[in-house]
Amino acid sequence: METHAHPFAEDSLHAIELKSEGGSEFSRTLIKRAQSYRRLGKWEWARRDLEKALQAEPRLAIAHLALAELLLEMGEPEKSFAAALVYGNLRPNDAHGWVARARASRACGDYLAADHAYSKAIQNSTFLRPELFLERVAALDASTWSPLLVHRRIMRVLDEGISCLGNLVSLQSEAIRRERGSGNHEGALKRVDLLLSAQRSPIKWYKIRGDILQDARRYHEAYHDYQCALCALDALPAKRRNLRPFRQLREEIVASSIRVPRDCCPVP
Amino acid sequence: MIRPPIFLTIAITLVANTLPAFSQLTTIVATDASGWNYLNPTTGNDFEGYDPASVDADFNATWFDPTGIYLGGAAYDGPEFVLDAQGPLAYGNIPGVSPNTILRAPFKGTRGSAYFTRVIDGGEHGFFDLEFDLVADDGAFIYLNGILIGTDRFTASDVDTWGGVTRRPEDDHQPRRVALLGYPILNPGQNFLAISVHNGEYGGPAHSYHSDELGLSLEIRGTPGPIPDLPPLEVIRGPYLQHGTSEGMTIRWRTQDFATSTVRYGLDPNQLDQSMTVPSLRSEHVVRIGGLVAGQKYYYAIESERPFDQSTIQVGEDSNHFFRAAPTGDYPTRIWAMGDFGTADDRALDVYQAYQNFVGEVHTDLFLMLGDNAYEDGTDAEYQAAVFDTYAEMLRQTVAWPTLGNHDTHQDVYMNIFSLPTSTSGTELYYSFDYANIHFVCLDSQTEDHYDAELGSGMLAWLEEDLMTTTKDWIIGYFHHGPYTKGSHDSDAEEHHIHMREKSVRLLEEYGVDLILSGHSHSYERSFLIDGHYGHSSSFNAQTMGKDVGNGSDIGGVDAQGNFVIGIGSGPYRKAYGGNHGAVYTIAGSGGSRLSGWANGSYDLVNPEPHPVMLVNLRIRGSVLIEVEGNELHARMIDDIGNVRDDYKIVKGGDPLEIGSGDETAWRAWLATHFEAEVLDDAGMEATHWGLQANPDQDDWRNEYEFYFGLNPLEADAPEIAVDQDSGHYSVHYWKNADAHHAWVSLQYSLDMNEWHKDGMSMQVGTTVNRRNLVEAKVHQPEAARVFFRFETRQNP
Repeated sequence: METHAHPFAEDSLHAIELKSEGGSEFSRTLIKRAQSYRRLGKWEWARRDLEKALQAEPRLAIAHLALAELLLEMGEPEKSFAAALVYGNLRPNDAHGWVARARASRACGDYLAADHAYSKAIQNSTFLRPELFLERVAALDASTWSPLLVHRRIMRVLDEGISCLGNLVSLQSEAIRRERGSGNHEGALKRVDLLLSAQRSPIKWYKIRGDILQDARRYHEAYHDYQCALCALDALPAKRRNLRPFRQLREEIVASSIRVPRDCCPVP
Repeated sequence: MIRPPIFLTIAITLVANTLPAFSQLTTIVATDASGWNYLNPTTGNDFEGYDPASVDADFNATWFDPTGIYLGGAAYDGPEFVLDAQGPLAYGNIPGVSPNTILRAPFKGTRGSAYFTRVIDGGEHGFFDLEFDLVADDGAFIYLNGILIGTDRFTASDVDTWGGVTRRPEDDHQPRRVALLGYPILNPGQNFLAISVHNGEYGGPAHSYHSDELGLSLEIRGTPGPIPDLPPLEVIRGPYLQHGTSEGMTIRWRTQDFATSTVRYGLDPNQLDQSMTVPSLRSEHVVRIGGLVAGQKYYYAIESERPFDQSTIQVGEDSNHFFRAAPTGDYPTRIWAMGDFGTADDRALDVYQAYQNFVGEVHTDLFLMLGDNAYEDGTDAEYQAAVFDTYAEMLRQTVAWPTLGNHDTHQDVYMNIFSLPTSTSGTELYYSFDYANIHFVCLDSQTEDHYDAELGSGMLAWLEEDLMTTTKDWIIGYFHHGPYTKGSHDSDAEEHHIHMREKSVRLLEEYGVDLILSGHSHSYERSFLIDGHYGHSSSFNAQTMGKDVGNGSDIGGVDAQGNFVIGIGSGPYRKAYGGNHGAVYTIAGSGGSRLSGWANGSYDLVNPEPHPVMLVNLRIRGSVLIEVEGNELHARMIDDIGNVRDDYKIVKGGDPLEIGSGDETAWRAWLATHFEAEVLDDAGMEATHWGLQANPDQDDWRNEYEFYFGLNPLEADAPEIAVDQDSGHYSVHYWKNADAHHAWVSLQYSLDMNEWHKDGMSMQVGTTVNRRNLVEAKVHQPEAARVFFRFETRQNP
């Protein structure tokens, strides 16, 4: 396959010379061309290539997977699910197939099936990534189950991710956000403390800790944490602390400090 | 079931070719054989499971030891095994397994692990070509004569972190042929087999949960001896360096068969007096050594031994095998970067050779692989040819840091081959590391869910945290799909580029990134110093987004014909430390790949319709050399015959003025830098310095300093500040440092020095070159013979 001449240009993709029709090389070339079309947003052309590849080799698993991903992007989640199902039958323990099935289920609004498929994807994934857990959380979040049930399940998923992958900011920050949302200040504080003990950015996490404490009406401690955040900010080299996000963070910390009731602030 | 890694298949194939064609398998141990010893640790009558290591500290290292009590040794002193049981051995309901020995089951929810041993008689000539058919609920480690020879639903590396195993695929109760590690044999006479079976469920500690059933059913077959000779052990990949930090280094290599892994290292190639050994058998050897001294150069050698025939191999212990532990402070650092090089042909070799010739003997510290590292699909065999065979010499001295490209479609292969930091990101697909005074950030632009917030991007959350934490002087980012290109890919049309530009680049710039390196387009494209361009190319505004539209070089530049011409350099890009002062973007996607046409279909040497942020656009093959020392970054594009085709520098200024420091000396220095004319206290310019904390205009601004000066337009003036009168138009020209916030400087005029005005004055700011803007301010006052101008400067407006 000549992929080097204007891979994004439609004309050149059309002009790609396909190897002898019917062989596995032929199918693979079609799949690659379909992926190029897909990247360009030429979905119908991509679909046509994948279907042609499947006509040549009906049990070509990767073509079913590519078709499932494409159909989802095309807004046809039911058909995407069907293609993912075929792929799953051909490769039952492959995590990619379960992810495709989970995304299709999610798009169909079947969040229970999506949750199950994500759990299978996580179980079968050789190389786990935090994104799988976050996706599963997003699927659960969209469900119409009891909010309490959803919250518990989401927290369990996030804790599973943390158990598997470590004390990651990507997972913990989501967990903290949800703990705060549910009013579980203690749970949120414990998670922030875990991040602080892992030497993550003290400015951001002291600030968030202060916010949580303020929510919990523990104003003295909140004020103290805001001061810690400012100290951490001041401890940054000047070359870093003058960056826009840090300037903005300083303003936010000062504004948050001001909101602490005056009688709760230590007398200067 | 975990699929065996691809290298295993290769290794077995190689060995299998050496075996006699007339092999006849004989059953050595049947599923209902007796002679099993087992330990199924539950305590007293409460059936509570426990970890034997809690009562015997060296249990995990000795229970499978053939010199233990069962072969007449004394190494084992842990809990007693029950002797001479008949297989299969199990508790609970395991479909297809009817136990002859019912094990004692712990209560549901408590620990379920069991340990099995037996002696196997190898007869007069031993056995080879062994096969293990196993049902082990849920998973197992298998040792023969003290060596781990196989796992079931674990990986070999799990055994090194046994206490940390927390997950495995769900139970399917299916009998499996164990993929044996290497080429285990049964010696003539006594052999010692040890198998640990572990129950567990995803999400909890491996020993802990849901012990509904556990069991072992095993049949061993093999070909009777004499055992044939094996080919000598060889290193077929590497050694290569990975994950270098200030304290540690990972050294990897591959042998054609399973063997032990040892690295010896030291400060003198003739005296490698330290070592690290991984005793478990591998063909993919990964040895992490720690306790290094930052910045120190170490020499090393690798060694492997195949225990079945004591065949050994050693590589290194000479001046060509060395590494440097990452320095932590300022250190002259040399980086080689290129993408789309994985062709394994003469084109890639030409680029490599040209680079080697250019740098000569000087060591390259880091090799940034910008994706599409092994065409066509990034299979293991393609990586072997395109990376390990092609750059073998460099890889044993220089740490390689890859990013994933669209042709690296076998992600599992990629992640098996490379050892990358995961402690903060949780994945090898995006990571960061420090070297000297540089912070490197690698992002994954290929996997959609890493940048798509709809799919719950953990990468952006990680990226922001990572950038908040670093305090290094320089930040260099790299990923495959560049945010700006009109090469063989179009960053306006393709989603990977758009996503990276809109999400990741915005964040990187916010936190002061200096240089972004990418590939994907098979060309060389290099930008001005720019900031804040996240949209379609048509939305680029050089006035506001071009922090410096010069060529960044102090020796020359690329002319319209694509030649690098000496003498037309506009000077290095200058960035103040701190603040957001722009980054340079480089597409270096022609490290070996076939050169594609430009986005508009042209095949010219120079892109006739480049992306507006791109200053240099060349359809040539080559790589990028980046040298960083102190406050200077020097980058050059070296083509495939060794010519410099682009050259630029980024020079960082001193720290910005401390706000509120009250340091008048620093303020004067800052002012001199920013305006390039000393106007304070200059009688010739009628300037008045009002002093610290002055606020002469009573405008209630918290001014640090405020001053003004008057200029007589009819008189000659300072060279850098010019006032012209033209038909009643008075204008002031001055150079303003591009780093100075526009609100820091306010130019006002007065006719009498009492009333000062901003309105009625038009301002025009020129494009930035060499960190300066030429500003022109005009006032139309046809009646006035004398106009006073006042600069008001303030920090933190």
